[in-house]
Amino acid sequence: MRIDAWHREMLQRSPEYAQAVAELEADEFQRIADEILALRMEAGLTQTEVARLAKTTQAEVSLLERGEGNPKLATVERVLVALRRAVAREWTGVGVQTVSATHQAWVSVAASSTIGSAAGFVVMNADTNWLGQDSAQRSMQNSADFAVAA
Amino acid sequence: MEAPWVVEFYETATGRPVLLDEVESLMTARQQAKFREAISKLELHGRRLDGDYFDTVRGSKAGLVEFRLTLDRVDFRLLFVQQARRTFLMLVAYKEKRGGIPRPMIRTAEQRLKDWRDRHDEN
Repeated sequence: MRIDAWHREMLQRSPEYAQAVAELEADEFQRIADEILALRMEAGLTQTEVARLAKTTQAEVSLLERGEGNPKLATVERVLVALRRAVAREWTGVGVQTVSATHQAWVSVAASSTIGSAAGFVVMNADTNWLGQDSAQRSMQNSADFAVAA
Repeated sequence: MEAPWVVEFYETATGRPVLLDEVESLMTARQQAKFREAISKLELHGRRLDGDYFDTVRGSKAGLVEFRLTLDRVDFRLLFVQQARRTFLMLVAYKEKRGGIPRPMIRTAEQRLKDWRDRHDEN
């Protein structure tokens, strides 16, 4: 049996499961976790490499991308920024064939002369949902570094 | 879009999904929902997942691999084999306890693998 078939069956016969699935789909932490894993796969980095770039530990990266633990917001922010830098380097270096919609948007805007605000857009796009206004402003500062690095 | 990797869960000859029944009895509804997400990620990324997702099972002649899951702070393990190039066959699931993989779990996984291969003519 495959997981999709089991999932459909469970939705039919278990109201508790259906409710848990709905709650999980609305869980922003889980969405951030999904994005962290997707970005890491896209960048082709190991958890240890991400940890080194984001100045954290491999165990923390592992927990983050599983949506587990109780991470500090600053850690989430550092990991996201490090991963986006890595993905951008990957793209500018060898030309990534498969990029997510977010990155396609970033690439298209970054190709214009407003690279600083474009990078800011991407970081804010995630952070305004997850970290709030103050953090989004800090991320804009990070984005300036990002534009220079890119 | 079809996932690039296939994750198949062991069923008996009569089609009973015993492994997924075990998952259901081991986990809360929320853990089951997270379990489904974790398996979807495995279907998407396959062995590209690294870090602490996989571990080889020492003492298994069948080439069993452990898939490591943490769901709401509870550690679960699935034992599987890689069948074809992009197919995983999941064989047993259990809650992790200290002291390594329980021998009965390895035995059950190897029995199920033999049964599956006998029925699917794979050697």
